[in-house]
Amino acid sequence: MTRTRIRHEMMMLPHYTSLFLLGLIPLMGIAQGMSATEIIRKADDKTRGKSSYGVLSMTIERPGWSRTVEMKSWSLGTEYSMIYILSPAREKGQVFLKRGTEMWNWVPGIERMIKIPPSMMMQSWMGSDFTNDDLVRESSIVKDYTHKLMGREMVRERECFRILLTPREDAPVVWGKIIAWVTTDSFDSWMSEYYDEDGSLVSTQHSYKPQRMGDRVIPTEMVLIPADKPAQRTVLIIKEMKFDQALQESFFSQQNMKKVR
Amino acid sequence: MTTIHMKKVPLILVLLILGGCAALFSQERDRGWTLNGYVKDLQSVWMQDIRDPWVTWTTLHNRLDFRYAPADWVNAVISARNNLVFGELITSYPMLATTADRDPGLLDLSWKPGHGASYLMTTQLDRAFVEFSRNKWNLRLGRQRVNWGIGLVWNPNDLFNTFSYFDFDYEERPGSDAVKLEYFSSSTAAMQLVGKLDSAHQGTVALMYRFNRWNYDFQWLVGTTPTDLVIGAGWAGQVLKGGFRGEASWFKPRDGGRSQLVATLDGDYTLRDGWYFHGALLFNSAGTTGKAGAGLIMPESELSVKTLTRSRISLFAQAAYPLTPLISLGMAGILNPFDRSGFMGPSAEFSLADNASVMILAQVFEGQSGTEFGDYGKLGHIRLRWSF
Repeated sequence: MTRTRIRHEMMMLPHYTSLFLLGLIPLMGIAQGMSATEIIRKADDKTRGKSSYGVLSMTIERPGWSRTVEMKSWSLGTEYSMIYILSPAREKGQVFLKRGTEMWNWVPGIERMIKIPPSMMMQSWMGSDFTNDDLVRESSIVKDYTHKLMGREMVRERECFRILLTPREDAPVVWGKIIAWVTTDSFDSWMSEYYDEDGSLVSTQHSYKPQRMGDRVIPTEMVLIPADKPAQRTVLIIKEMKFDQALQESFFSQQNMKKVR
Repeated sequence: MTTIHMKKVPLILVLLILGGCAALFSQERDRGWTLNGYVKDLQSVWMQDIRDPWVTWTTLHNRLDFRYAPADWVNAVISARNNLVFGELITSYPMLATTADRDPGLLDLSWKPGHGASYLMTTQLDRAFVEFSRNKWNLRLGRQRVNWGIGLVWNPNDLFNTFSYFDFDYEERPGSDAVKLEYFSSSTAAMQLVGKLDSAHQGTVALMYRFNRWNYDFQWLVGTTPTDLVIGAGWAGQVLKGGFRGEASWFKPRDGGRSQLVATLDGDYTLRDGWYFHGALLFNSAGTTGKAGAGLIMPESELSVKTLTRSRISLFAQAAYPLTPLISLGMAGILNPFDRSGFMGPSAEFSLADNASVMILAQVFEGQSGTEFGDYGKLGHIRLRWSF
């Protein structure tokens, strides 16, 4: 089942990316007088763009072993995304398509289009440090939370806004709260802490290595560490990324799933 | 005979050497060439009962998938499946060698480059096609897998290629010598027209339309096989977040015989902690409610959608759990509720590295003699897999 699990979890990746990337666009000087919600929206918009194309790798690190998946990814807004698996070799060539709330997996070796049921999205990715229930439901850190500016703090030599995100009452999210540190000069999501409903820290995400990717500078390495297992890490690396590409809705089709390389 | 062997051996060697090179120099080739594949070492044992004599054998299985895509609108694929089987199975059942290179397709692309008292070597090209695409059209010519199945266990709609659930070591499944014309009428809808010829020059022609509505995928098909007229339909969707799928095909024999309905229902659910539950049912109107013994496991070439089971009803259940990210455990079972025979398949798969894994699997068939599963005995397998 590992294979199936990996397959189905792959579809989550664009969401992880946006969660991870949470921020950028150099909009110096505008920060003064912005509301917490505006800061979060800017950070979110910066990582998504209207559309994007990227080459990414994700590594699960555990004491004694690690496993890596590499992929190409295309997205248009929050509605459409497509992922092409580059490695490992056994999964190479598999394609995942998300259109709205529906997802499909194309497995070229057996020439099969598999419709992925919602319950398959509820798994964690390879038992990694991610939970993805909220991501599956396309929760939005902008729309599904209220935001409160708690002050400014230095985090790894960057000045950050410290913002408390509290879920709205009926929002389909799993977190009890999120504390996000967004850099004041470039709206990078520099650090985030995820808490459960009892107020206990579940995991911490750090961003590193800002680099130019297309028209903007974004952190290119994101590390997620579970609070109760400090020796475990999941590392996402952006190898290449371009924003606001000329992607149409028609690109995200079953025909293109079979053609894309 | 000897000359044929002489011709085939170099082909195998070339393929194997190319495979080795691909592994050494990574998968990506310049100018649109790619080569991927795997090597598997499968150790197997069969016994009627644990106290009876054990028959052991080894299968070295290599797959090579070549793809050449010189431009956006054209690509070509050739896939080779090379097998070397040796051990007591070959010694005890020499007749295995006589049918090993029988190719069910129009073209004879199966060879037996070598065999002896204790070993059997086979090579088959199970994909060999060129494909052209333009706008919303796609045309594929040659040996290809045409997969119309939706269910995860049984596929009554899979007219062009049926496989046995028990043949776990052949995920790719065989190809058909066919022409496939596909038209994509929207982002989630397509029509396929497929014509196939087999080794007896008998044809199967069918038309299938697949579309998406109400968050469900639906398909319907009409076709003609060498013996029957066929109408079929299927769907894939969800109920309470679980997967819910089904397929049905109705066969009307052209010789005036009784018509037959084969249908399946299939559902699965994944819990948040990773537990996976899966159940399926297969109905065959021509099946028996008595003892459904087949006598022996049918060879791949004689399987058809009409013989997915000999029973009126077959039941399937499966549970799987990822013990750790590297270890997944599974248990699958099939039951014939009428003759009370069944199959149990416990398995464990371990990830050794990004591209290597080992799987341990048992296939335990139980039942009285003459029942659907009663005469198959028990099998155990250990499989090492390295992908490149």
